[in-house]
Amino acid sequence: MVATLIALTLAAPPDLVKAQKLFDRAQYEKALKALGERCDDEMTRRPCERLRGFVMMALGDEGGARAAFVRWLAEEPEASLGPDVSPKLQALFGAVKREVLELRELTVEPLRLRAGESTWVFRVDKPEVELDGLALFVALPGRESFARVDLRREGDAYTGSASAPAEDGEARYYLVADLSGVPVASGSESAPRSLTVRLAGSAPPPPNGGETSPFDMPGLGAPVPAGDPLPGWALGAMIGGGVVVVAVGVTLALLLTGGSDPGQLEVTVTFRD
Amino acid sequence: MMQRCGLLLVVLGAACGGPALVVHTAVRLDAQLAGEVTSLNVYAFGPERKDGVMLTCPTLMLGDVAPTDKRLDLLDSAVVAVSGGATVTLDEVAAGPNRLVYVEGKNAGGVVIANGCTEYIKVEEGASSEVEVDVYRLQ
Repeated sequence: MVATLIALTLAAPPDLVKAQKLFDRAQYEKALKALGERCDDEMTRRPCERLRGFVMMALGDEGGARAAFVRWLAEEPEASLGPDVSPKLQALFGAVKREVLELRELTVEPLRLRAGESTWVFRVDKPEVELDGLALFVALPGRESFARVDLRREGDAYTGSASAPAEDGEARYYLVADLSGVPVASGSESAPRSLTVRLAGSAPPPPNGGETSPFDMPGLGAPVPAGDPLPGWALGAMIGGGVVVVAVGVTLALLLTGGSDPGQLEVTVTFRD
Repeated sequence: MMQRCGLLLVVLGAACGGPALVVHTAVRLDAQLAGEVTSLNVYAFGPERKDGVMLTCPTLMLGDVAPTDKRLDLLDSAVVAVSGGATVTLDEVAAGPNRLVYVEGKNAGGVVIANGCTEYIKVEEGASSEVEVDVYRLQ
């Protein structure tokens, strides 16, 4: 406690020190007032949220304590409460920590792209914890900026869609989950996750550190939809490669399904008056 | 009585010069619904769930289980934008006698407003059958 007080004295604004003293005297309402509505100061945010969690719990506001711990752990996922903390607080903190760690590990399932599709469908496995929202920020190959895609809960997953990319390469992304009003990110704009994108008909990219998709296999695709401008060599390659595509796809399907022949459903959408 | 929303999915068996097990599926939309349904989710399932329970069309149609439920034997799926001439291929539909095709129609906001389903679809060499999948507006 003395060490905490010293640390706060050296690094913290006066309100945080005051709040700690008031908390130690069991003057929880005043301690909360001394903390203010938010812990905005970057230097003291973590000890501020930690103390706020203790104060809220003492006031019987478990939801407020939980939110404070979420904000703290979102910045410092390896944080711990330390010794001499009540079992109730330890249990709450431990539960929040597991939730935050789970959200920080969320990933997008491999992106699937086929000929004729103008839309990519993204899918994220639903985490154990209930979310108030989940957003995907994705930068398609060749693009610098991230576009936001709000994901919608569908059964045991969150899904969303975006316009399909026009070129191969690495797609970068990060996810931001809304956990009780607190954003918890998996990846970031400065440290995004990555997915290898390969359009049907193009050569596989060289091995890299990016995530690869089980669907991202040579031959599992179909020609680029008609109507897109294509150089002559590409058109010839696609036509000539069509047989290879089918043959490889059938072979892979046989290997994957233990011998049963794969079939195809070719869906065509038309309008009729 | 369910209101037909004019969306008819016809599954035809035919050979088209590629692999033998190709089933052509034509989706016909009534002009009245063209402005509402902007995309379709098409799913192909095996008949048995991973927990041993048989999958049926009513289960999906009534929303008892989501098409993305991991217990389902999802063979393949795709999204197709509802526009004239758009195509999509599900090319990993394992052969067998009892395949199930489930279709969801979504509006521009991504909300499912219609669905349809057909089961007992044969994806077998030499099979040539016509199967109709009627997509109804959700009640």
